[in-house]
Amino acid sequence: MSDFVIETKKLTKIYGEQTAVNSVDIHVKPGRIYGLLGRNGAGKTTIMKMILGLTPITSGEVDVFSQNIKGHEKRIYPRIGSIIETPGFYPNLTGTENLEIFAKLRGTPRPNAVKKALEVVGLPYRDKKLFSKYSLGMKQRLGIANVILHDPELLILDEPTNGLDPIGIAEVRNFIKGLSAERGKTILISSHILSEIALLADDIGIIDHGVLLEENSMEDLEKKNRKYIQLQVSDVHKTSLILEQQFRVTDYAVQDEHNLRLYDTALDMAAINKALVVQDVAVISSQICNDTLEDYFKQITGGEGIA
Amino acid sequence: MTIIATEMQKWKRNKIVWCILALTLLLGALAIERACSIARSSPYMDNFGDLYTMAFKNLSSLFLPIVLGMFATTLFFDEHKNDTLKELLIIPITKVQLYFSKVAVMILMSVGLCLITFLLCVVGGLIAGGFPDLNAETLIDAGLLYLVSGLLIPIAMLPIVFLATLSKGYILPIGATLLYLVPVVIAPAHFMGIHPLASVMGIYSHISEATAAMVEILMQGVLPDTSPFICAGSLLLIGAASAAASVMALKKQSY
Repeated sequence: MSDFVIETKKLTKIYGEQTAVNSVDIHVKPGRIYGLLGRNGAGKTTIMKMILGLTPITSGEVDVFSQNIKGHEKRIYPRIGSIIETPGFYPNLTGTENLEIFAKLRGTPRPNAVKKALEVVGLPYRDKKLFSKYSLGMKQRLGIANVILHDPELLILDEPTNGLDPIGIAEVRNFIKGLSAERGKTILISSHILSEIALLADDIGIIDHGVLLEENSMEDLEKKNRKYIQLQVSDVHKTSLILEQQFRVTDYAVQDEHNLRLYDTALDMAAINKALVVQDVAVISSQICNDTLEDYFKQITGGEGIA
Repeated sequence: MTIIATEMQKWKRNKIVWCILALTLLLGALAIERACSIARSSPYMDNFGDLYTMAFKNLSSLFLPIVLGMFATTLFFDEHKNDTLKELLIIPITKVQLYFSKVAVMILMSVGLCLITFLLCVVGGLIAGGFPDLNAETLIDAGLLYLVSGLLIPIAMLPIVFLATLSKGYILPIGATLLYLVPVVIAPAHFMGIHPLASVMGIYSHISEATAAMVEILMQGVLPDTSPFICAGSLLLIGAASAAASVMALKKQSY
């Protein structure tokens, strides 16, 4: 038995000549929220579709609840709730009628399951409004209601806050957190919004151009974001020479003509400042800094595309 | 059965279904109007067979195949359009279940429309009056014709359903439906045992004398000489091949 609810091994998807997902190993632990963070088009949705068996895998393996989903659909799918891209419903039916169809097809045994699910997401039960008249936010809420309708153990949510207003986003975030904290649900959630993932996830996978660049717990990631001394000087080349020759410092990075970072925060800055001034280098500023998750993300992915 | 029941639920408030129903009632009403306005002394309306075969021709020669072709296309394509296919697949509903549930709905619709037309004929026969053969035996013959038609026309339309499963739009299967009808309209006798809709006619002609006469008229005076068993065999073979091809096509599609 694996320790993971979802485990992918060298998961790869190639469309024609384009590699959408490249040898991705994801490990989603039970009872935790795993945030899959990446730009639009990074491969997040494709990974989720492959996990759910909605799109064929080019190579690699996916295990959900320690089983390959293919051939075990009847056993595994009832334990999963998912939203992939936009939630799909019948436009000529009301929200309640739509959920009743899915509840019937799933054989949901709980009485009032539809009513309860709608209550949880704040949508009215037996409302006459048709799905085609729903706002994007209401559609997303109905999608979430459909996900929790059969009380699944694992939730796979692809950008579930898309289209929601800020209050709606906060509500959904708290709701997702509650599902994990209070009801022990395992959640795989994707987003291109870093702050969302930072606020929600226990574990994070950073994906870029189909490659999983980093997989770590948020705790470790926060620890990993290094502290450094930001030094602003009049002559960065002269400063480098002084640091290396006089103080034997090698763990630093030159950023531009006037800025460099010293990664050893235990250095005697008073002595360094004094040496620099003596050698005619003006020290404009010197301060201890700490990278944010956003800085870290930019650093490992090369920068843009994350809100 | 649950899948079929939910398939029916999906059609609530659907305008296409209401239009189909309204047109079926209109076609039945037209036949009743003819029964009321043509004298019983005329050879065109001197027995109940004339009424029910007239209503039957109105329904089954063009209207029902076109309606079923469009309906099947909508059944399959709307799951893509509404993005509901992925929701169904992860319930899980297999593609085989999906295909056969939709075909079952198509058959139910076909039988339903035939039943409505049959009932309209009976009511029309009673209203118009003067039919000497409006008795249990004729009603059984008529009922059998409508039932056979309701069951067999959807099977004859399975090649179009195959196109509907392949297609990413409405145009191809609906256009193909119209083309599919051309051989049956211009030379049905030549395509009996080959074209499923023509084969269905070959089966009708053996139900009763009235249906034999109706088929003769539809065949433009040419008497069908193909055995009903060959017609039935060909129809079922093509239907089964189309069903297998549709399931394979659905299985190959990734979401």
